[in-house]
Amino acid sequence: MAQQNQKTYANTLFAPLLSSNLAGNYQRGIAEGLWNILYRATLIAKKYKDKLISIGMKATLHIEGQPKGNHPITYVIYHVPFEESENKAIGSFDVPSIDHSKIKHLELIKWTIQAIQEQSPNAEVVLCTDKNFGSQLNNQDISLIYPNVERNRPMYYRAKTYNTIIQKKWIKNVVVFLDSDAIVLKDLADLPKKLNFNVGVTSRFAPNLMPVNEGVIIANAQSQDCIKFFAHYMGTYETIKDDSFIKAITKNDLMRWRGGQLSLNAICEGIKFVDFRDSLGGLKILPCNIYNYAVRDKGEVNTLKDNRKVYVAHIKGKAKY
Amino acid sequence: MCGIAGLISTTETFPKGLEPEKIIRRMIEKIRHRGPEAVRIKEYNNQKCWLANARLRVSDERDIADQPYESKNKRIKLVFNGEIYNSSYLEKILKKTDWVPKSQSDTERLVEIIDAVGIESLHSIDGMFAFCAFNERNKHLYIARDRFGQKPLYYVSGNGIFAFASELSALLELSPWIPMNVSLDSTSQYFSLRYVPAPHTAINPIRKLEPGQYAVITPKGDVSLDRFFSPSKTGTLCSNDLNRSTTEIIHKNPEAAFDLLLSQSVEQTVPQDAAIIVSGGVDSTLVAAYTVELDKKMGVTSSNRRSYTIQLEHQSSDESEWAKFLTGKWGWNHELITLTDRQLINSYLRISERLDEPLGDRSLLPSWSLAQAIQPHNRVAIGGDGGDELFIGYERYLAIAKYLSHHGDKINWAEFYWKHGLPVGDWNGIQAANKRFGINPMSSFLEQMRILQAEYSDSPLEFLQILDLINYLPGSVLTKADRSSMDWGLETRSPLLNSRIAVAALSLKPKHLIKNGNMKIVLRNLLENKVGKIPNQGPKQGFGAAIRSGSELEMFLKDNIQSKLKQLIDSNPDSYIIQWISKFVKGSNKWSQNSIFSLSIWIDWLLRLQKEYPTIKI
Repeated sequence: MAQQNQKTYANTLFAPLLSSNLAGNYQRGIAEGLWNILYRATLIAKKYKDKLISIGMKATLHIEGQPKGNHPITYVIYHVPFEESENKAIGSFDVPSIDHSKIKHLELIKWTIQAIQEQSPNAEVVLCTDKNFGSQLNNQDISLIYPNVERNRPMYYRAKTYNTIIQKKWIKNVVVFLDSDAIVLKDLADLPKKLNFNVGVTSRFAPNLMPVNEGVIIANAQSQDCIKFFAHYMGTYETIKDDSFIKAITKNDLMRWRGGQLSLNAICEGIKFVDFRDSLGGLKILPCNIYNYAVRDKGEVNTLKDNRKVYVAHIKGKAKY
Repeated sequence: MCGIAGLISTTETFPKGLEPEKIIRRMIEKIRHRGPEAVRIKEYNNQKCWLANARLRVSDERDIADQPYESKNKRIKLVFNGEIYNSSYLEKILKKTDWVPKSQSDTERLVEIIDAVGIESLHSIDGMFAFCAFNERNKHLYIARDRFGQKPLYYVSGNGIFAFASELSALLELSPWIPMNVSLDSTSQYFSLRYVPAPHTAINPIRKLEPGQYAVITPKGDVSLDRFFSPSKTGTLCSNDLNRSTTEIIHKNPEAAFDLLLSQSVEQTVPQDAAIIVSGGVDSTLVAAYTVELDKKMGVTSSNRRSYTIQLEHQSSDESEWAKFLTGKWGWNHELITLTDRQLINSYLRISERLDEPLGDRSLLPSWSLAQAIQPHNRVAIGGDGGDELFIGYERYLAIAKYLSHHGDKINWAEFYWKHGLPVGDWNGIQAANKRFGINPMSSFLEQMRILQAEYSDSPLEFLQILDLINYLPGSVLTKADRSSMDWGLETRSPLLNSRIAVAALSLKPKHLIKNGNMKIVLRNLLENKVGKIPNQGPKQGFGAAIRSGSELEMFLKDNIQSKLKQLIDSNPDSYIIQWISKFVKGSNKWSQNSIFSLSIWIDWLLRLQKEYPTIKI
């Protein structure tokens, strides 16, 4: 019996310590698929960089309204709901399916806005949405803008909306592009100065995920680094969305899902795993566990808030229920 | 353990005048000391890809295990330096397919797992390694380096060539075809850190892989770098629920967890005929104590186990006495080597003739002498490298962490640590020389470390630990261990740098590791369980004290600098590098033992380079 206990203990201990092979820690099919598409996208982004930047600078869309843009920091959130009748499933090989009916988007976004206003009272909060959803948030003291988008292609139009805001130079100071389910726990306004960057993205290491996450992007909005970064990001997206090799692996519409994060990872020149040492010039790679922490459930947000270490808590997937 | 090299044409043919067979032979001969027992060269892809290996036959001594090694289906060709510790685990996976082993070598398991899983297999490989795998099907080349940088890997590309090698010196053979120059930035960084930090090297455009990094090289020569591991106190283990529960298990009873992990690691790492280096400090003695248990389990006769302790003539003998006492109790065949200044000078003369890249770590001298003593009797030696970094063992951490905690964001922690915790050259002298040439090579490096500082803002001790794990450990400690042992064709292994131990150790908090002023408390407790109370030995001495003030060795080094610096300046007064050095020397007020040793090594290296490779611009 003692021997059996020792064996169980050893198995529990050994398996996860070599981020490898057992117990769902590493899923080969997903990891390989991601590696292949990231490798392809990175090659494209690197090889045609100048051309892609030029494409990206012109890849903007019409937006009704515009931010005030003169606050010390501006948080930009994108949420244009799917049509009610539309199937909301993501359908990408690397994303587990979730029950969308269990997610209360309006409540989540209100929480996101409230958290920003609490932590960063001098900030402008900009919500990119449609008029119907926006009308439900009229009393939140935020700026509402309405990009002209296709609702069933959220990732493509989100990236294009971000790029439009940057290329039109609507924001003068620091901008944070934030997922609608990312809760700000500490003000981010001083970060670019403190860590000397013009663009900061967050990365994590988990074998089944892309390293750089789109959920939090911090930038000095009018810096050349930022303008070129977003142009490169969008230019890459415009190019890879029709790439047959990538589409053959993802088997889905890259304008609907996956294309934005893939483009972002490609321009950060990491195939599977980047960290702070991969920062290039004005672009800094920041650790997710401080600047974009994925919580297990909503309750964990309060624990993190009390600890005062994490800047942004990200409520992903089933944690949103 | 081996030396590896490769030469690949990324255009239709190699550049004019480059005879690949001749050059690859010269490359591998340059590093033959790493593996003197078998040199093999093979060509693939219509003579566009040449791989070479100089082998130290450790795992399966037969020639069927020599490299380059092909996968069963001939798709993957591999040259590999190091040791795969979990090759029996890989074998279990492979046996689920129709694979039948031909040899007992870890190389065969490695090549087959790469063939079966691809480069993603790096996540499941544990060991110390640097390898190159050529995929015959898509003509891609993969090069990779282990998680903590125990084995080196250099590479260069240009003029239609991609090449790699275990040591920088092999790649210098390509200088007639790829323009090379001594890097001014790296020179300045060397005098700040005592090593040139990866990915840079002393020679442009040669690069070295960082620990835990790999690269994919396309047939056209595009190089894509990526990582498979990065040490972290928060990210590595805590990214999902499964790992969080593992952390909880470790925290609940660290001694039980590490007892199991160490037993497993020693079993995987320590062969029956390996020598054990027992310094008398906690780390190496602990590894030795676990080896005693392993020997009992495996029925190894204790008198067959050789062990070594090295001490400097002028150092206190507390630690070596304890090592002698314990090894005597265990019945081992123990040798105490006492080094005099004269022996250290002799070591210096040999090392300075052979070192491929400057390394200003003074303990290079005794480490080299130790390898010299072990090599006639053993092919493998076991030590305790990595313990101080993984388990917070350096006493300097405490005082520095206290200071950093007090000053918070106002200072750059890495800069402060490197200036005051691990000082090398006089920073005033370095700054004066940098200013003269309008360079500041440490600035972007220090800026990156600011991100690390922000991540560990509430725990300067953990910041220092990670900082050393990614810089000092691979740059200085492990490079010293590799070069000093491989110069004698001796393989050194550290069971403490087993990947599972390392990741588990990173999950520990300072409260688990420091109690009542004692550091590495988990390891100390484990050791006391095995051998009884650890005697009070006073401050740790290490080999760093090799150069005494006023000693024969110090006089030798000063004399060496004086005569050769003048020779260097006279030989090439227009060189920016030599002007930088001249300015640095003039601007330096303090000459520590570190700065004397670093400068002397650097001058000898540059003079040798000038003589052997006149095409390299200085």
